[in-house]
Amino acid sequence: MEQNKAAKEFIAESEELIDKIFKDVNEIDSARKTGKPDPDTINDLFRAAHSLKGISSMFGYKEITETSHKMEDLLDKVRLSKVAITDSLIKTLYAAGDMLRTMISSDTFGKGMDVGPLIKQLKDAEAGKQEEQKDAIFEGLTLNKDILSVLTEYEESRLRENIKDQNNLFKIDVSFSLLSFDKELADLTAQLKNFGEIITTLPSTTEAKEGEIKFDILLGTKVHEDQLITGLDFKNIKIQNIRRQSVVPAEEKKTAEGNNTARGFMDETSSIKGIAQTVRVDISKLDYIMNIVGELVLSKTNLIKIAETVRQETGFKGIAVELSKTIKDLERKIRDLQIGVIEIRMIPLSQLFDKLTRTATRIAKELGKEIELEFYGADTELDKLIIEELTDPMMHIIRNSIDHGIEPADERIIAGKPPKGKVTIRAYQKGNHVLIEVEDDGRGVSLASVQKKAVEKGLLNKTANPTREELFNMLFLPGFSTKSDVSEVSGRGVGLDVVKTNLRLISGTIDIDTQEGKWTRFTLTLPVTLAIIQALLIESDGKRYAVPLNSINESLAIKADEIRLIENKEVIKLRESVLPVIRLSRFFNFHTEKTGKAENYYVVAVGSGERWIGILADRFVGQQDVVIKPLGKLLKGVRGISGAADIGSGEIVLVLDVSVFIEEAVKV
Amino acid sequence: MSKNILIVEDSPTMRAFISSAIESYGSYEVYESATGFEALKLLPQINFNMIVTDINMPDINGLELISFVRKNQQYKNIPLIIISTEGTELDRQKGMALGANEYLVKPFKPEELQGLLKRYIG
Repeated sequence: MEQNKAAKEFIAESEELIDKIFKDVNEIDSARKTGKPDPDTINDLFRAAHSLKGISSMFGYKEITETSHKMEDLLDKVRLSKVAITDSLIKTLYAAGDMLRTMISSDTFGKGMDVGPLIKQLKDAEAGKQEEQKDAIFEGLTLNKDILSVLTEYEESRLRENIKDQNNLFKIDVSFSLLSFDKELADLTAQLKNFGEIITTLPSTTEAKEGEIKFDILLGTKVHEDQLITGLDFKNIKIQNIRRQSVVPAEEKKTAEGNNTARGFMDETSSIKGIAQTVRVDISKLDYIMNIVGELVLSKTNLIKIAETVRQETGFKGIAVELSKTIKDLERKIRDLQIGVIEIRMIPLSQLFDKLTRTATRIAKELGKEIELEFYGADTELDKLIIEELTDPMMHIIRNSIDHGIEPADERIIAGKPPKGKVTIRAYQKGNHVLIEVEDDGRGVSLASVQKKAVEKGLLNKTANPTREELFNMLFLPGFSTKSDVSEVSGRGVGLDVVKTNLRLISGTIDIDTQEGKWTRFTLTLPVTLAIIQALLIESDGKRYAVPLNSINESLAIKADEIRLIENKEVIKLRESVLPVIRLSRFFNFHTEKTGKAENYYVVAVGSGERWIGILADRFVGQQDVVIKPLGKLLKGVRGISGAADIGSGEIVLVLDVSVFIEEAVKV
Repeated sequence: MSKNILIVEDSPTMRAFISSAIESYGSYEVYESATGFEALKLLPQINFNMIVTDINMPDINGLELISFVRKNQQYKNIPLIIISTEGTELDRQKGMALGANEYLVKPFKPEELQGLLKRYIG
């Protein structure tokens, strides 16, 4: 096995396991508030820690092994009912999950981490009540010794718990065809789970007919034998009560259980089906397909050119007509293929929201604040890569809202607000973009103090009269913070400037709006996918560029004399406002600017509101789908370029990073 | 005739590790199953020369699989190796009592598994 492939497989599986850990802890935490957590979930959680320990130890990741090992030890006791599920246990499990996630994340993977304090916390939690295990408890059962001998320690403990809870215990014998038993057994298992807990499923062929397999299922339940028999939609099963006396009166549970059964059964089967229909795919494989689609798009463009030539040479008849029809057809199919591949890459934001909920709850706890999170649009979908890159910026913004935005409860009461702070996160699609808003009902941002700070920092003239937008933009400058004391939570040396930079990597932008004393709202604008975009090809001073179509507001033709100079910057008048314009050859220092003055220009206006700018072009070449490829290491940091694209017949153009130009506009 | 080995293990990473350890050692046909059910379905179809199984698995557990194999005339002589972990000594003991031939404790080196291959099937 290639080392690299193994490591990838390891990381992918670890991430899944850690997600599972969080999901299970969440589930257990909420279930315990309303009653008893499902032992299956606890066992599931144990198994996740167990698996993680197993694989990380094989690869020699010491800290991950140690952490998951201690977590496993602790969970082992929890599932064997030796340690109670308490607030502090849940907190410890979350802490361990967070640590594991940090260790597995790409930034810190393989680097040493101090897991000492966490290990101690896990060990402390483990030192709960110790209870003598009495095997005498099994004596009241008419249970074959053979079955006891194949129960794992965990299953034994579940059997014990069921006896303690005064449940009925049934042994259910059932035979299925060897060819199809798994489906039928899953069906029966799903039905049985509505009645209680399946302690074990023991296969045997010794007593089964030829071509059949027999199972002994051990079920712990509150219901009675006759209820079980009538409730199960299965023939040829043998049910044997292995407890000598029954405990629960028959009528007591009947109605409640009955209602549960119908609904629970439906849920169970649909979820089983859902799992079977999902395939896990390495995203690089999708990238590969996407690249091929991109190349198909290019081939199609070339075909169109050929068709055009044929048409000119032979006239629009016969073969030229056929060719053009076929190309139209091909075009449609390529588009469908493109959409199909993009859809596969899409995942709902709910996955990100789940993570955010956990972080926010923890941060609020750390800060001693009470908050309520509200999510809207969790089913909005985005490219998986974008969602991954979005995690850090979103965490930062939410941290910021809870730490700086939401006031302490007493302050809120004085301000006439409910003591509990509220952070609302809304996601929705708008054209080719997804917008995510994070709004808190906290103290808002004081523009006056932003201005004061900007003057102090020498960013602004004392006499200047900045607009709201200008002041808001200050907040995104490196090292700019209006809060003088740096708190534990958000003051990790990262400011909103980093959020902005991170977002730019995924072609996203961020805006802020606020009302002092009332609310602050951050709006993130993100492309739905990065893989393939529609672009306008422009030519400027002999060079061609691609401008992402979704970032263009409008395009227009102007005469050279419409360009005027204001404070030594070139601008044009567009309707009633002033639009600064930029020449790409000057911006990139290409020294290719033509000396002779052109008479006509084209302008591509990008950005919005007071933050917009026009890019000057000599000519519009056309509109085309392009696949953006990253630039090599040498060119990676060049401002204003987000990548390169092949536009057919081997010609490469640079793709403009419009957000950089919009920033230039603000400087103007 | 090539030797067939059945791996029963729910972790894809562990499965990949075990099968690569086996395949790099000699020409064996490796069959992987992610669950006990899959193993139950494979058993009647192929003549296995060895079974390597995990204990904690989602559907039927490894102990049940061992008991099933040992009680069945057709399979009872297949060498059986348990893959276990620290802290599950009780389960491991039960497995050995049910008739497993050997056990390995994670983390183990490929050579340890290869040593067992050599000993039991050559």
